[in-house]
Amino acid sequence: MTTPQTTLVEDHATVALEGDIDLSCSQTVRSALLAQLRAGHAVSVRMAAVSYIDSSGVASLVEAYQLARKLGLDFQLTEVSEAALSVLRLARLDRVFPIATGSDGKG
Amino acid sequence: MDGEIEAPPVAARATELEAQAALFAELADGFARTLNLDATLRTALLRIAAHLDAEAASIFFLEDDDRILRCRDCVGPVDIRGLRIDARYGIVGRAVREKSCLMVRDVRAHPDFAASVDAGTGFETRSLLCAPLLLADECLGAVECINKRSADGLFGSRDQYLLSMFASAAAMAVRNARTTVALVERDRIRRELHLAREIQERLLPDPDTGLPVAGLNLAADGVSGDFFDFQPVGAHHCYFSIGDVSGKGMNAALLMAQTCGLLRCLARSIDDPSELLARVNREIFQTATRGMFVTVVVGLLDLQSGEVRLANAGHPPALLHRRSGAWEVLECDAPPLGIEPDLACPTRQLALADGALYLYSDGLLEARLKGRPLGLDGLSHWLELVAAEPLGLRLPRLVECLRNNGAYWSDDLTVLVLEAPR
Repeated sequence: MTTPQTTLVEDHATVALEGDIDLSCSQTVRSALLAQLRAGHAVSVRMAAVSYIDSSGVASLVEAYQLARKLGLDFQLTEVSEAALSVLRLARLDRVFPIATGSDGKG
Repeated sequence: MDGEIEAPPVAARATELEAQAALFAELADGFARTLNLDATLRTALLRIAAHLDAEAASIFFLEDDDRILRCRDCVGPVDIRGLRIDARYGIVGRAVREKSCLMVRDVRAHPDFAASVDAGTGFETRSLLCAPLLLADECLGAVECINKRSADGLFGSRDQYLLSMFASAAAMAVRNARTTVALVERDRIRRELHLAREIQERLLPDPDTGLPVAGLNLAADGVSGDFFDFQPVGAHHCYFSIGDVSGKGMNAALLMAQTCGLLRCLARSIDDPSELLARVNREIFQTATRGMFVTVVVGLLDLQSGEVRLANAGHPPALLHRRSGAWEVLECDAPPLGIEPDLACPTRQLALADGALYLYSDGLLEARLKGRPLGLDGLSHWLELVAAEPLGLRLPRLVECLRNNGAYWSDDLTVLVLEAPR
């Protein structure tokens, strides 16, 4: 995948992921998400263009989700591709992450 | 410090060229043979300083992402070992940046001269010769000779040529020494992974318990993040579990060992799979770092009735294969362990009757056959083909069939099968 693209509007960062989120890039994804949260920004992870996500990719999302909760910041996944959603559903992680369907982050 | 520079032992009849060649051969040989780079550098610095008739000589290595030049060793009246110079400044810094040998006949007039070093040491630098430690693709640092003692006190092109040759040999020796250190480290890590794998294998259950359960674990790369377990509990029950820790490597292996051990220990006193997972989840949630989590199925098989009670937290669905040929897919009921502080994972009850229950890690679902992941349909197809094999041989036979048909996988692969006692 290419580097996650981050757009910041006021205190809300949208981090767009694309391609395969696996061991080769999950560390980059992790850093991008944690950096936004540590800066005090709410985070939406846009996953429309994610073609595959493995457990290391999911772990990056889990870590960001846990940090957001600790810091009291909003964290959600938006426009999750079918490929990514099937992985999340299989492990019932769709019950953990707030998932919004619209591109505005509202479900 | 022991920095006395002696006159070079040049044979009376030897020509200067022969003397240079002999010196270079001696230095190169010393670097090539050395097991102790520091001692060899020290000897080499003394020899080169003597040969160039320099008052002092020092060698600097680049450190901190090439931002700092640090003096590794020196010979001469002042000890500057450990001295750190910003690599952007000074004559040494320029030689490293430009990757060229610099000869400065009057340092006071040179714009790059860092007078602060002399101010700190009390040593007066007049002339200087500095050569970078160059390899094909990188610069490791620089070596410099200071203040020619003889004649006009100036270094010449012969000196420049000799110091450049010396720097080339030293750069190769430094690279060799660093490669050796890296190899030793890699060997140490490999040994530790081997020991960790041994411990993991000891965590796997004894296959000859007489219980109607069999398991198989193939680690993809050294240590495994997967586990399975089965143990008798009381007189009439068999505890079983299968799990998969997110990620790879030593941290996954440690979390795997912790989860497997906690479950086995608590399963002796907690007979409700749902409660067992809730308890272990709390422990894992406290200790897991970096978003790591564990998908797991735990259960109890009643050895008299064949009834199974199980709970599945985030793990791929269990497959129940009835003797009639029908398949039942038992999806998981809760997210994995380690994500939320509290986990509500209901216990399911099912009658094994004459069927077989298969549990497996996602490495098996994602094994590729004819370029596509095996998936649930593929897996049940191959399980049907080996269903007639005796319990103890069935899983190795499954792997053999998959391999013979060109399947391959890059993840750990773990499978567990249970049948009702006959």
